[in-house]
Amino acid sequence: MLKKAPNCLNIFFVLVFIFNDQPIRADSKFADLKVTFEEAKIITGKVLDANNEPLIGATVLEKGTSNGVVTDIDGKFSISVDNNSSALMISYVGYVSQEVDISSSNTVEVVMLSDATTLNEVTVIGYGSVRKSDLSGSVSSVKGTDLRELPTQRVDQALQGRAAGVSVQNTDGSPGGSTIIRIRGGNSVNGGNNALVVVDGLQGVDISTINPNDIEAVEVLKDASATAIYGARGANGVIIVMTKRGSAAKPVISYNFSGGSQTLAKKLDLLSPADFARKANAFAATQNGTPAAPIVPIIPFTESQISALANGGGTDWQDELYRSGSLYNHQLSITGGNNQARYYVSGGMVDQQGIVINSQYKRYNLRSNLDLKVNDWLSGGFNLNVIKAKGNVPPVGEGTRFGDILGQVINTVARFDPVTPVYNEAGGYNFRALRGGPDGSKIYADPDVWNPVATALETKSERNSIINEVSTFLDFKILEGLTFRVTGSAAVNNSDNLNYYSSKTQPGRGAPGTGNLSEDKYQFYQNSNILTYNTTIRSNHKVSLTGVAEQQLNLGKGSFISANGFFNDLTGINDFGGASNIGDKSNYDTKTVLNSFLGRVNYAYADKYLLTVSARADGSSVFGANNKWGYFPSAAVAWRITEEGFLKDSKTISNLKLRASWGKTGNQAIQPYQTLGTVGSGFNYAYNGDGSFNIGYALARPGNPDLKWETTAQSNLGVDLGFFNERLTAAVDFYRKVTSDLLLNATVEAYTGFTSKLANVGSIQNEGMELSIGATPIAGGSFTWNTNIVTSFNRSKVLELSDGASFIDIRTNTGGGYNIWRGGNNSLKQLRVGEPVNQMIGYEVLGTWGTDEAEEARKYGQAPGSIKFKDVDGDGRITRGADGQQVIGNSDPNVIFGWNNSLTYKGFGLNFLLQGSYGNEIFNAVRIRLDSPAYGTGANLNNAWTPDNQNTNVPGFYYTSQEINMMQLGPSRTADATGGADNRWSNYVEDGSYVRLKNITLSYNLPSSLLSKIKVPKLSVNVSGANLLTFTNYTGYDPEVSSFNLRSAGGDGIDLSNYPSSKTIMFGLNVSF
Amino acid sequence: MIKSIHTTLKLSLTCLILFTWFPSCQDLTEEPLGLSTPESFYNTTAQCEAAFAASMNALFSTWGGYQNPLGLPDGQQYGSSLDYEPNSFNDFWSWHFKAITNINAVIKAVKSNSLAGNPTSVINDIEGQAKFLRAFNYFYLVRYYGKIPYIDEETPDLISNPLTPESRLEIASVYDKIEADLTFAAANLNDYNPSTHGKPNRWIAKALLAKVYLTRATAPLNQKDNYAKARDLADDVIKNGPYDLLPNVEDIFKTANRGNSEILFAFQSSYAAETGSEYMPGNVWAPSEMDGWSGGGVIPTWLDNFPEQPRRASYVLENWTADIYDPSAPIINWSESSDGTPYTGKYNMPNLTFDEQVGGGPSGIEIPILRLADVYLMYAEAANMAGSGPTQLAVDRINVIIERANGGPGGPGTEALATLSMSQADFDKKVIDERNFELCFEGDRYFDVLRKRLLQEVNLPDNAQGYDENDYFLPIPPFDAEKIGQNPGY
Repeated sequence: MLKKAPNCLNIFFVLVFIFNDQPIRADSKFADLKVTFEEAKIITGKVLDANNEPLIGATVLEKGTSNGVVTDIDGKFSISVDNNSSALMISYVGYVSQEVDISSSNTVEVVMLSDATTLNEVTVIGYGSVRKSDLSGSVSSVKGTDLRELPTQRVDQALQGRAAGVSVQNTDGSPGGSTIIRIRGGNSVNGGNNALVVVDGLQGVDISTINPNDIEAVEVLKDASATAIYGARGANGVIIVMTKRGSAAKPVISYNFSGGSQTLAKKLDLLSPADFARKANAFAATQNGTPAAPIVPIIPFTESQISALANGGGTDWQDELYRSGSLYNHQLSITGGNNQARYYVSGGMVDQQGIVINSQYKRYNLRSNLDLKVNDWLSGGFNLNVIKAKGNVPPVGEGTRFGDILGQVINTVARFDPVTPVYNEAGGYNFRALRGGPDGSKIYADPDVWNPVATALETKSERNSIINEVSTFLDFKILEGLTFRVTGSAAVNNSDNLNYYSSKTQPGRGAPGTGNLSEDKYQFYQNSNILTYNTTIRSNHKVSLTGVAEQQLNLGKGSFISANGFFNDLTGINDFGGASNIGDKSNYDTKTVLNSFLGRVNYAYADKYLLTVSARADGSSVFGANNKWGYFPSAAVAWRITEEGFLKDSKTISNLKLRASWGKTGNQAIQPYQTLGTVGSGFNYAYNGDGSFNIGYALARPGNPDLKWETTAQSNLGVDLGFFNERLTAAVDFYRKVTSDLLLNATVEAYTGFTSKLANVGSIQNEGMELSIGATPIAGGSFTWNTNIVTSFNRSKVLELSDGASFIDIRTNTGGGYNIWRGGNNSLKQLRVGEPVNQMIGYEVLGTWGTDEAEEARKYGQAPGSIKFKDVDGDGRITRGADGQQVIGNSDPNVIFGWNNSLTYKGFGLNFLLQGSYGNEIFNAVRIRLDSPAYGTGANLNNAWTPDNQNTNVPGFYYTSQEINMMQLGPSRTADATGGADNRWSNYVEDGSYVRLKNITLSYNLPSSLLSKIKVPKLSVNVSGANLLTFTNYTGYDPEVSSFNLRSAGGDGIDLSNYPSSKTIMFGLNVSF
Repeated sequence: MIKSIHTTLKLSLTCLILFTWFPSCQDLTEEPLGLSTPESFYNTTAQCEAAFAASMNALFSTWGGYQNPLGLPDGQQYGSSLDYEPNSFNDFWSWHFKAITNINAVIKAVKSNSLAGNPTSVINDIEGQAKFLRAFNYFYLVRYYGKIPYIDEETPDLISNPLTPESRLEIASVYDKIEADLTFAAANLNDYNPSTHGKPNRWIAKALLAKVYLTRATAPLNQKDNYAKARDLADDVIKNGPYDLLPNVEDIFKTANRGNSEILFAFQSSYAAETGSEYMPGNVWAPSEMDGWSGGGVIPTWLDNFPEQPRRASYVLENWTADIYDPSAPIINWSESSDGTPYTGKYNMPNLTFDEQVGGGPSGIEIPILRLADVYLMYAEAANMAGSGPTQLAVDRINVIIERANGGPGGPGTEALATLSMSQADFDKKVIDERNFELCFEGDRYFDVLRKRLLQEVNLPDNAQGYDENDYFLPIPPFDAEKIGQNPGY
């Protein structure tokens, strides 16, 4: 029967059946209990922490037996013990275990001391767990309670500044927006750089969908010794999330509420309406033709119009678009259980109204974790996580799907004319800037830019998703020390998106109305079979063996269709029948299989010398036919010097451990079927000659049976230090990662009929250092202060690109007047061999030409007040090939850091996190249009060049066209760099360093004396804030910005109008029964 | 005892799980559902013809391939030059090999019976189309590049088996293979069908084969016994084929007369801008004043030799409106225009309607590849050179073309007719000159220049800088040349 069963999960149920079928025997231990019952005594007591708060769920064991209970919600317990028992063992995770004498009293009160050492804490690693002291790899741990400090209800955002080596950038402030997480830098160009997220063993979870309230702890696996166990999915690091589970105690119900408001963290500094009008007049006045053909300039605004604008006229578009948003969060959980069954069930809801009008996000989540103990050799569990999310965000960032930034709200809110009102007199929108002058025909503002309020309100952009994650597991205790775990997990996710740009939006204006629908379905099945054997040989040799056989199946299906020319704007995309044209349409159906075998040996001699060796073999369907299997070995050694005789009794040094590791991990960067040659549509031709086209199918790409994973080899050296019984700890890690076999497009000979093939060529290196320091400067008494600092330094370098190419352009532009991409060594972001991944290339701006440099400027065909570029090759002209190849910036920070503090005084708690980066640069592309003399709206224009203000980078509009004509300048010799052709100018590069008060929370636990009167065991209230203070010189909305290439390398650090971040202030309430 | 039974049971179950459950569940072989692979395609005649359509798309697509003025130094196109760089004209190489790759895939599939179940005649027609198209592409390549690798359905996968310099065949061997493909096509293709007149048929194959013979008879091979073969095949097409010359020279290129009885084979485009259509915008070859992109300029000195006749006004644009969007705009001469050269007339108004001309939309222009007038002139050339001088039929056939150009018998044109008394050399020159005018801007003049060794002569006085004998072959794209070697002089 087993052999025939085709489906893995079926077998799973069969197994459950077989094991449940075994009669539960009267165990000899139970018999013993009965016999000794007569001679028992009852001990009652209470377990408290240093703050006299009850510890719920602490384990109380009769010493020398397995007889035990756990404390209840008041920290109380009652245990029946043998009359001869002299002591109880009390333990609780995070606290020093205590032995309590019971020979003289039947009631005890125990105050547990926080175990700062945490060395005996268990750390979860891939497919198992180890004592923290036995770790030989590089792992950062973050407690669930820390993650809940940030009020925004997002795990990815909350990880920022918490773990060394983990860089989190909130590049998109929109409700439900994405973050960039990089562990020790990015490895891949095309393959994706996101860490693998594993939740309770389920691999590949989208971290943004995890409810932080459900999290017990997060471990970040960084070095190869820790990540190689995940083989072809481990190269970008692994984030392991453990959710809360029930304990054998009476039910505890918790309710958390938080609610508050969000506001735009910073407004852009733009010209006031009156200043804009003055600038428009000043610019218009320069347009007076030539002496030979003079023109009387048309001045757009009269003095009375300007004074009306100065007295409250005009439009502050930022005030029109941004609003005070709100964020509400309700979470309810019930946890409890007994020796046979334990449960944790939670449900919650997040409701966010974003700071941009018409942006919102709602998320409902439900989690149920059950643990069952069937008998003394079989236990199991069941986890369910269901999330439904729904959001709407008007077009931001790279713009609309139609690629035109003029129909993007965040960009146009800065660029739109501040004189034009939002609505015209008839109540309709002023879609574009009005015109000025006596006859109302003078263009004074960018004529193409679309009304951002219309864009925001008249666009529907819905994002709906439903996530279902189920995982089950059975644990068999086969022999002493030998356990076998079988897990079966599934994730079934659906998402559907809708975009509709009505006839009142820029993309939909002529069509009329344009939009698209997409639906995606993702199914993931995972079965892991984990055999673990722990034993100690001759008391000094501790051995732990892990063997795993695993399979993963990934199914994707989806469709996309776009249409335009809608008959009715109100029904729009919801009535496809009303569309006059169907545009792009596509669908896909993919399947990926990953079969894996892996093993690991942990060996410790006398707790001093630690060795970990692991190996994984991954067979993946997406790899080419000749490379179906990848092999990923790793090894690590550690030496706990404090276990040596000369340090063992040191009162100062409580921990000193040296660690070294090496290993290989993979990035399964290939998409399904990418190794196969394909025949694809889209090559039509009027073959029959009858005037209509015939469908053409061409060989679309060549097969490459050799295609394989990208390989990252990483070595790591680390030191763990602890002083004064771990009141002061530090960890330092040095690493070097080299990723080779990068998946890049390699040129092929044209006689093959193709231009390029995907091949494993090229390599990138990351090296760096991480330092984390933790301390408890003040402890004991009623005041405690915990603090920790994490810092990371990462340096990247491109070692090799395909076919000896010296550079690859990274596409970073969508048009709309931003020329920062041209291809052919002319893009702002390029990967260059031997240089950092994230550097920027362009023209170096030296300033503006001064009046005393008129002669020098004239050689370039320029007048004083024009931008002065560095003529690198000194050939008397500014050309793209020679002068436009300067390194003008680097978006990688020199260092990122976080400083977290937690202070408690009696019932009060204060927690704050300072976080930031230093040395990174941002290309503020928004300024390209804001600083432009003709139509610009930026406040920098107040600093434009004049003979009285020559020390500026903002070009002037001082000389009239007649005056310039009379200077007889000749043709401009900076043609490549000016005239809108190429905007990669160094003056748009700004320092992106910042320090931010990421979050601050003040909480108060109401005293039990008060609470007992209202019969509530536990009640606390708090006030928290996020992003309240930011110190930076960056002039854009936010220094944490990146508008391009979230997945792959090279697109970081360009600001082209993402949804800005917000300040959040929240009130919170936690109640437990 | 009980315990040990249980332990055994647990252990054996564990093993069972590990060894039967795993790894039997999922195979690592990929079977795409939504993608076609070469192994799963070419199973119907429509799929095969979709590959043929794609092969033509490689040569001719909206704003791509042979739609654009090519800039070859044929003495007609303005702006061409003989200063070649190693990357000059590399696109031609890529276009034709892309086309050939798609055609070879069909032949390979058909040979392994992918069309089994269809009547033999249907299968033969598909194979005939494939071989016609393959020969057509190699005919271009061998004339552009000389010794080339000949890749066919038997060639091992080129991605994993790069070619070597030895893969480049002698020019005559390439012609042998082209002739074999065309001979098969002429014997197996369907007959002319007016509703699918754009598709290859047996008459088109014969006409192309006649041109192959004629080319073989001239430089660089100069195998003169091919003149007779060219003459006989051209005669067969003229006498027995379904095509007729249009009586009126002004009618030939009017878009309203698309697919007329004079057109054998052409680069076809759709008339309508449906989603997915590949069309030829009407302003590709137009001067700036006519909404053009300044691409179709003509060398003024070339025009000096063009006889005064009605044909000149239809084929060449010398005067045009100063602003096509302004009905009241004056007509200006090319010398007053912003581009400052005469322009191609064949693909501009008045052969196009206003709507077809402007806005970059579909014009319905077809660029002829083989036209009956071409076959008439091939006959005249071949018949003259096969013997010892012009024959009466050769004289008659060239004069049909000249008389039509002059506006018919008694028309206003001034071009002299050919006579039987002309010497063989004079008559040959007369034919080549006539081809120069009649077939201008149809992509054929460059090949006449090559095979008659006129490259320096036609580019004098202004464009012949940098000329040397090596310019008779174009440079092989440098990346490919690393594998197969470069032509001399680059």
